[in-house]
Formats: sequence, structure tokens, C-alpha cells
Amino acid sequence: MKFFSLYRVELRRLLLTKFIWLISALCLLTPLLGYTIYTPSLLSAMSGLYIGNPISAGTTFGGVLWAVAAVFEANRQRRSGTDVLAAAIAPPVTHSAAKAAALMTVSATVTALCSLVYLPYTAVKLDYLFNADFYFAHYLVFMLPTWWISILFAESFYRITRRVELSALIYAALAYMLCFSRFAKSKWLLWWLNPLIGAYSDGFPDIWFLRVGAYTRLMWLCAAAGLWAFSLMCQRRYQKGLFGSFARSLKKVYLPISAAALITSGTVLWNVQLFIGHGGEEFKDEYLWGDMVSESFYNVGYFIKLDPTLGNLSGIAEYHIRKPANGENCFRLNAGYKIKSMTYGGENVNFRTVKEDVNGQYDTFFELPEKGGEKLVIEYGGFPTVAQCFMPSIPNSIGENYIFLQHTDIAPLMKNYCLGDRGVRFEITFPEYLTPFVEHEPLTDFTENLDGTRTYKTTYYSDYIYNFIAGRYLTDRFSSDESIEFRFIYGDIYQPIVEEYNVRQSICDVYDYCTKHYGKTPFVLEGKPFTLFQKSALSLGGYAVPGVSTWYEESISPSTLSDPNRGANATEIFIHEMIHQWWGGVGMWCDESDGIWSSEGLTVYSTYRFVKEKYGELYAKQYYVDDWKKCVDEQNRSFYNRHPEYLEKLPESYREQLNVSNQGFNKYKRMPLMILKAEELVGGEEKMDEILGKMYSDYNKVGEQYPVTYKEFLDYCRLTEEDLKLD
Amino acid sequence: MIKVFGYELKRLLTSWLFIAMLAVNTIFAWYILTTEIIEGIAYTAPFSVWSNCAYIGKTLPLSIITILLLQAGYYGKQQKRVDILIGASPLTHVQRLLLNTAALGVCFLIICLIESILGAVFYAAFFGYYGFDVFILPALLEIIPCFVFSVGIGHLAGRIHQGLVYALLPIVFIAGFLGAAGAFDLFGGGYFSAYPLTLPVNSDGEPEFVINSAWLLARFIYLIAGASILIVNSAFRPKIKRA
Amino acid sequence: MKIDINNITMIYPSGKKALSDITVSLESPGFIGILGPNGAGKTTLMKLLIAGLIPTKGEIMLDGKPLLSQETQLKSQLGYLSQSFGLYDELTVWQFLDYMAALKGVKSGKAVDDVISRTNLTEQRKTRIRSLSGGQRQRVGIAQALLGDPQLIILDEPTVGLDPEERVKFRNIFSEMAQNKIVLLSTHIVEDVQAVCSRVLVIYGGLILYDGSPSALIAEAAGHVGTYISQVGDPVPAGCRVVSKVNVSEGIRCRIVAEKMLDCAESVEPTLEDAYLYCIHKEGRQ
Repeated sequence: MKFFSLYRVELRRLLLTKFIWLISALCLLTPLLGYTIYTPSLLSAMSGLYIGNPISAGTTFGGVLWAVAAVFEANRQRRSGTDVLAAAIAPPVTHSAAKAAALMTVSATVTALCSLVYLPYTAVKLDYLFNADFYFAHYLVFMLPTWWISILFAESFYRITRRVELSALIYAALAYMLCFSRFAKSKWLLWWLNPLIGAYSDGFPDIWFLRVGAYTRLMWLCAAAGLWAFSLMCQRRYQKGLFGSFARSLKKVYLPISAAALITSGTVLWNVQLFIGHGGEEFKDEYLWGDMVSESFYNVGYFIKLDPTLGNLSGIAEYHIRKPANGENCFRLNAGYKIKSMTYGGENVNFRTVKEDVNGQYDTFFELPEKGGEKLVIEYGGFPTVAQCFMPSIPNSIGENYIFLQHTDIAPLMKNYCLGDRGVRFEITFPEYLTPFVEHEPLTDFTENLDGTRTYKTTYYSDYIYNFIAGRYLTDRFSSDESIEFRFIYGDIYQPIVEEYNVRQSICDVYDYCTKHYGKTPFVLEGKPFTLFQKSALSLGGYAVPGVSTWYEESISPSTLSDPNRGANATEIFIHEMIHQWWGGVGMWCDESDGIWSSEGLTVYSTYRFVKEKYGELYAKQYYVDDWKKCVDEQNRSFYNRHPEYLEKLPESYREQLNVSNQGFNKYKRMPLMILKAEELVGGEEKMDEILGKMYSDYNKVGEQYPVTYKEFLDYCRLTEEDLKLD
Repeated sequence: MIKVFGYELKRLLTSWLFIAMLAVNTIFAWYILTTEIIEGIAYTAPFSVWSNCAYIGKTLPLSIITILLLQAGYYGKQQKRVDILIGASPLTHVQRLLLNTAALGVCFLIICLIESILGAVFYAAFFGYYGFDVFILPALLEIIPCFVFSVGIGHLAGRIHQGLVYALLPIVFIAGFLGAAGAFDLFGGGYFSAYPLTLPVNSDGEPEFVINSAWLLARFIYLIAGASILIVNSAFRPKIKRA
Repeated sequence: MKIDINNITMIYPSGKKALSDITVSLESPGFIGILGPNGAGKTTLMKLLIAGLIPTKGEIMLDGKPLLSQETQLKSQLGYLSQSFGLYDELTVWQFLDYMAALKGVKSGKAVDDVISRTNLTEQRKTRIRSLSGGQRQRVGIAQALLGDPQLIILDEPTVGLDPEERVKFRNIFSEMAQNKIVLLSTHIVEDVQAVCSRVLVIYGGLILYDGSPSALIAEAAGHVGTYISQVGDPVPAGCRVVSKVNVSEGIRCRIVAEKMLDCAESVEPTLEDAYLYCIHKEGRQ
């Protein structure tokens, strides 16, 4: 009862404080920074620009302002001596709680006001893309708890140090080191002040970032509340200093217990989080395959159920095993999934798991009885983890509008075993409004369930499913001439844009350009369409597989298409990925062992040529050639490239980082510039097209592909390595 | 007077604020060295004069923030209450301003010195580089105007209101950490990150170390402006209430 | 040393008139007590004397020269203790006094030890100021005012927070010092003034109501102080001011000051406090 009466008094007092009104007013303005200087969201999805950025800015800068308010309030009371008087009247712990609760109430009111103030503008700007739940959820999940965390931290620091400047210093150091420093760059869970906002999707709105946001806010709220409880123990009493007061406070057992409980809860939440992999940051290509026992499986089936509301998957994998391998067997699964049970021929199988690896997966080891012909059943499920090395791209997620799962996200990936020729039965259940694709091919065979879901069934003939995608998709079929049919699969929300910007024509243009200059791609098989698949912006980048080019959503988002100055990074990605049907993993491929010559380089060069033809020389020079030159110049000037002997003295992680960066430079910048130089030396664009066309037709035969080396390319051009050296 | 200065300095150097900030400055400097300077600024060697000056430029904002925090103490409530007694002593306000500024200057030098030693240890340990003599002059050109200007502004702000000194902190933070414009960058670091990119390189791939006149002029202007503000501060005696 | 305060008027920027056309001369040796209720203008007068304020009108002369031009000279001979003041909490008592001695240009060592012993702080000389009690802080304040044997000592409520025994001790110290210098003591404790001051200034509403010896002030009040017995609930008779009340067997014995003594009242010998209150009472009635 005392708490509530104190709370009312404190709240009324705060409302009479001009400074609190000033802070509240400034907090209302902070989202404006998200429209201008503070834009953490990647890419330019409208929801990122008008929801993600402003709310993130409001959350971050408002958080700082509330910390200022908390310290100001605490300091004012101490300086004026009212805290001494208050301590004589009210129990200090209850009073401190009432004061914090009052300030948090004011901040909650400001959050609500903020959401209402920016609502009309956001709704108008986003128009048909606007989703009210998504909008308000951001305020609730990001802004409100962050402001509370900030208040709790600031109050704690002040109570412990009793110095304004020291509190500000500790707060700033904590914010900088955990949220903005290089150290924190890829440690997203540490970001207590600035919520993680990656790439937003307009076409397939996903709550992945909100989920992670909610979880991390909860984690930090526990930690901040724990620290706050701890700071109560440091409150100076009985004319004692910090340690004396602390020692006295230990006698109030509930204080240390609650502080320890809250901090422990935060730590536990940190440790058990499922969202981001625990296996480290550096990507390593680790393959599982050992010696295969050929045709060791038959009658394999995966029966999957997805719950997009919780983002969960539950699955059963069945394998009939002809002859179990000797010794330990192993399979790999997404690290977020737990194995619920494992039986062989109805008997439980013992298994052990090992620690998660860098790719967000873990291995399970088990031994089978020698007896063959029995059924191995693995029941598993959970929330798919995203490996840290892929972040902030979210390659796997189960959301209400978009589902993207790959191999170990779907079913266990077995070591030593491969499929027989009877294929895998694949059954997957999820809400009926989503359109599913396996390896970019639509699933059509389904049964309706009573709960508004559908169960799709298919059989496929591969050791694992490379990817499963479901979303609110539309499929468009069209052709540029009679020889090729395009299958253009995109988010239904983009239909007006596809019409308005004549995206179909652009697709035909790229295809025609490449066909004309290099020849037809043999990977788009006769009778099969060339599939162009739009991925959610959630997972950055695009890729190409035979007959299929994907690109991310932003290429045709309203903000991208309406901006004439966006340059070569976003709009042209779909061109780049389409051209990969000619050069790269799918078309003619390059032996990249020398570190310079690469399929990417050829693709970038061809993209440049197409862009030059379509948008003019000036545009191509500005966004391609000049950029390459600048990057190559920088690379040449780099100290460690000039003096590699110093590299040995550096920490390995830094060497690795430099190496990766150099590889990227070589592929995307140096190599295109070298081909451009070759183009000049061989006598111009036409001549180069001729050479590339010939090379393409010579090396690009289905079934007998082998990589083209740099030397072979030089031979085609009748040039030497020396000729293409860049100064 | 030396004794009074000694006490002023003792009060600053033994304050928790200075000790804590010195620790933070040291950690921050090492962080800058091992994350940014190690890469070599503007593609020059990490131990080039360019990189060292950039290092100083990057650590200066925090050093200045430290000095401003100490300076704010001169305009705080406790100080004002002591000033009632000090005001009755023969010490003039000019002497007092000089004493305070000198004490702050020593604190600043200590921070800079520790950061420089840290830099030297870093260059020696990672790169076996010991030619530190060439760093001294550009470093002094960088730090002295910055200090004089900041302390001048700090005193001016403090005379008006202690809160204004604190208000300078976010300005320094924004100017320092979020980057400032060209030659007029108060901390001078921006110049060393950008200018070498515009210069031709020698046979060893490094651009010659040069200081252009615009940067030098900017340092001179900051120095003169800071000194002028200090003079103006000393010319006008603080608060004798007039009716 | 001689200080002449000539027709000083002090009006604060808020419009509050703190002093109004005051003329006083202070000469050493002299121990001058300033009496007056809160807000009478005592502290303003003291601030004017230490060049902490500039008067709106009039002039203060130090040995015949304007005070503001003699500021350095004044401060080299000044010991000042204000009503409220601060100390550097992080220093020890000795360090703080050493620091103040250096500020005043006084050779420290013996001087500091001397004031420490005079103010009974020997035990606390190495104690940090933040650990001192209120009374001990007040003693440090007094000690710094005594440093360097100043010619002019201005003490604004110096004995606040001291116990009665210490109060007596300090007023004796002040009294000793006043033998060859000017000591200006502002206080509410009339008893202190009565005990040691050779001259009293009574300030009220920015005016000096009385300037003279304590005995003359007492003499002025003779015949205007009396006692009478009243009962609970009786109103205070018109024209009287009750100075004190004591419960006795017949009822309540009231001590009053009045311009015209009541018939029922028995006239008594006035004290300095009676005289001071009579002085104020008389002015208030005008």
C-alpha cells in the first residue's frame, strides 16, 4: 500500500518537473533522427525506412535522454537534501522503487504518445504496405523496454557512484562498448540500447527482428533490474560509505537474493537463446561427408509441421536402413532443434550430441544394432537458429508471411548414408495462404486440414532438400520470343510495381543481351522455364542455380525503383544474378585458384556492359568503372599489401579479415577492371564479346564442363599476364 | 603560488573522476590502436606520422571530455561555496584562472603522455618501430591548439553556468566521434585520414608527410581563438553583483 | 585601519532594498557586534565590506581611499567567515588550511599549527574534511579566517553549530584579537555581543537604528521593560511586545518591552536583549 501512495506522489512530482517535460518533448522528436542521420536498417525497404529506422532512432536516442532524466532526478534530490528528509519518512527501498516506477510510467506514456504522433505519417508513406500491428509492435518491443533498461542502468550507476559525471561516463562506456564499438559489431545480443534492425521486407513482413528484439530486451531488463536491485544495496545509509552501506544492506536478504536472481536470469537467457548461433563468428566451410555407404537408405520420409506464429518446426524423419554402417553414425541438424526421440525398429537409440559449430548446426552421434531392414525414426523440433557468420542476413526463418529453410533446417543430414533411387517422401504442413516451393519448383499436391493449414506432399530425389520457401507469392509466365519462357515468381504485394515499372521487359532485355553476345544458356532446358525467383529481403543477396536466378526483394521495392541515383548496388542485382546463368556456378565457370580470375569478375563485367547499353556510358562509368578504379587504387595503396612481411606480426583474426577483404576486391573490382583493360587491348567491346562468346561456347557444354583458367582466358585474348597488370 | 598550484593539481589528480577517466582514456587509446591504427590510416603504415597523428586525433575527443569534466568541477556548487572563502583572499581572479588552466593543462599532458607511451609500446611491440622523434612536432601542433581552445570555451561556458560545460560534452562527442569537417576539425585527426589519399606516393608507397597551410591556419586560429577567450575571461572579473 | 561607510544604499537587481543610506565609520581597535533580525541587511553590509558587492549608491573608504581600488590591500588584511561556506572535502584539515594560507600569502607551518591549536582542531589535523562534524567544519571555517593575523576580521554567524563551551571560548578568542584590529561580528546571539563587543550596530529594514556602546543601548531601554502576571488565554496588551514568558504559581510571568509601561507591570532592569528588542519594537511602531 505504501508503494502505491509513494508512487502516486512521485508521479505527481515528476509531472510538475519542467525538466521531465523537456525530456519527454525531446523524446517525441527523436524518431525524426531516423529519417535523416540514424539509419541502421539495411537496404531501403519502405518498412525499414519508415518504421525500423525512426523507431530505432527513437529507442536509442530516447534511451539516452531518459538516462539523463533519471540521473538528473536522483542528483537533484540528493543535492537539495530532500532525499535525507524522504529517508526519514519512507522506507528507502520502497521509495526508490516508487520513484523508478513513476519515471518508467512517464516514459511509457511518452512511448504511447510517440506511436500516435508518427502513426499518420507512417501510414501515409507506407500506403498499402502499412501494417498497424507491425508498427505498434515496434514501439512495444523496442522502444518501451529499452527506455526502461536505460532508466534502470542510469539510476543504478548514480546510486552506486553518487556522481553525475561518473554515472554518465559508465553509461556512455557501456553503451559504446556493447552497442557501437567494433567489439560489439557482430555481437547483436549485446546491443541493449540500439535494437538490431537488419534488412526489412515489405513484401514478406517478418517478425524475426521483433522476436530477437523482444528476447534481448527481456534479457537486458533482467540484467538491468538485477543491477538496480544491487545498487539499492549500495545506497549510502547510516553515514557509511559504499562498502559499509553494502555490508549493512546484505542483512536485508531479499535484496541480494533478488539481485542475484535477476542477474542470473539475464545470464541464463543469454546462454540459452535460440535465435543467433553460439558457434562463433568466422564462417568455415565444413563438410560432413565421409565415405558413403551407397544406397543405404530406402523408403525415407520427412513429415514436417510448421508453426509460423511461434516460428517453430516439429518434424519426424524416417529412414529404412538396408545395412547400418559400422561404428558410430552421425547426423547434423540446425542448432535450434532438439531431438525429442530416436528409435530403431521400435527400440530407443542412445545418442550423444556435440557442441554447435560456426554454421549454426550440431552433430548427433549414435550407434545402431547390426540388424538391417529396420526403420530409424527421429523426432525433432524447435526454433531454427541463424548462424552468426550469416548475420545480419537471416537465411532461415519461419514467419507468418515467409518461410525459408535449408537442408539441416528441414531434416537431419546423415553422414555416411545416401539415398537409394526411390526418392524421399516429403510432407509439410503450414497455413494455407502461403505458396510453397521446393528447390524453386512449386508444390501442388496438397490436402486441406480443418485448422486452416494445408499438408503438401511431394517426392524428391536428392540427399537433402537444398531449400524450401513458402510465402505470399504470385507466379507470372511470359516470354521474350518463342524460344524461352520465363517464370517470374514474386511477392503478391509487388504486383502493381511489376506492372508499373515493366519489370518483365527488363528481364527479357537481360536475357536477350546475354544470348545475343554470348549465346544461349544450356541450363535453361527446353520445355522448362527460366525461373526468376524473388527472395525476401530478410536474407541478403541472391544466388543462381541451373535455370533459376534469385535476387532479393529490394531490386523492385518502391523506394529503389523511384530513386534514379541508387547506382549499381541494388537495382542491378537481379541483372547480375541473371547473368550468372552464363558465367559462374551455373554457366561457364572459372578456375579461381590463382586468386584473381573468377566467375564473379566476368559477371560484374557483363553487368557493366549491359548497364552501359541500357542506361548509357556516363552511368556505367560512374557506378562501375570509377568504383572499380577507386577500389583497386585503395587496394594497391594498402600498407599490408605493400608490406606483407608485417602481416605475420598481426593477430590471426585480422590477417583473415584482410584476406577475405582482398579476395572480395579481387573478384568484384580488380578482375572486371582487368577484363576492361583486356577489352581495350583486344580492340574494343565487339572483339571482347566475340572472345567471350567463343569461350562460352567452347567451355559450356552440359555434362562436360571444366573450369576455364586465367591462362586460357589470356590465350583467347592473345595477351599475357603482364599486359593486364594494373598500375 | 606554487603551493596553491600544487594543491589545485593534487585535488584534480587524486580525484576519482580523473583516475577513472585516465583508465578509460588508456583503454580507449589501446582499443583505437589495435582496431583502427593497426590497419594503417589512409593506407599508410600504422607507424607513419599520418597514422600517429590520426591516432592522436581519435583519442583527443575523450581527453578533452575528461578535461571538460574536471573543468566543470570549477563551476560546481561545492566550488562556489569554497569560493566564498577564497574570494576573501588576495588571489586575483586572473591568477586563479591561470592556476586552474595550468592544473588542467598538466592533467591533459599526463593523459596525452600516457597515450603516447601506449602508442610507442604498440609500435615497438607490433612493428619493431622506434623512430618516435618525428611524431613530436605534429602531435604538439595537434594537441596544444585543441586544448587551449577547449579550455577557453570551457571557462567561458562555466562562467555563465556549470550546465553549459556539461552541454559542451555532447558537442565534443559529436564533433569528435561522429566526424567533423576538413581542416577545421578541432581535433585535427580528420586531416590525417583524408589528406594523404590526395597525395602522390613515394617509391615505398607512402605519401610524404606534409602539413598543408589550411590545416596549419586552422590550428593557429584555434590557438588564437582559445587564447583570446582566456584573455577575455581574465579581463572581466566574475560576478561582483551590481544593482 | 579605518573604514568609512558613506551613505551606502544597496538595491538588488530584484528590486529588494537591502540597505538604505547608511553611514558608519569603523576604526581599529574595535569589536563591533551587528544585531538585527533576518533580512535586516547584515550580510549585505558584510559583503560590501569584503568587496563582494558593489553598492548602488554611496562609497566605502579604506584608510581614506575607495575600497574597490584597495581590494588587494583589503584582502591581504582580511579574515572572513561567511554564514554559509564550503570546504574542499577531499583535503585534510591541515592541507586545507595550508592551502588557504598559501592563497593569503601567509607563510604556512607555524601559522597553520597556531590556528589549528587555537580552534581546538589538533586531533583532527590529519582528518579529511568530509569526515568532520558540523561543529568541526565550522571551526575549520573560523581557523581559516584567523590565518595570518588579519587586521580586519568579518565573522557572519561564526558560532552556529558550536556547543556553549566552545562558543564562549571562541568569543574570547575574538575578543583578544580585537585589541589591535577591527572585528565585525554578526550574530543572533545577543549574549555574545553583550559579553565582548565594545560597540553595537542594530540594523533593521536596511537602516541603522542604533550605533553605540551596549551599555548606552541598555540605558535607552531603562523604564521600558517590565513584568506582569497573566493567565492562559489573556491577550497581549496593546503597545507591548512580550520578550519572554515563564510559568509561575500565580500564572504566567510575562516580560515585556513597551514605549509606555503598563500600570499593572513591574519595571525591571533591562538586559541587552531587552534593549535590542525595545529598539526594534520602537522602530516597528513608527
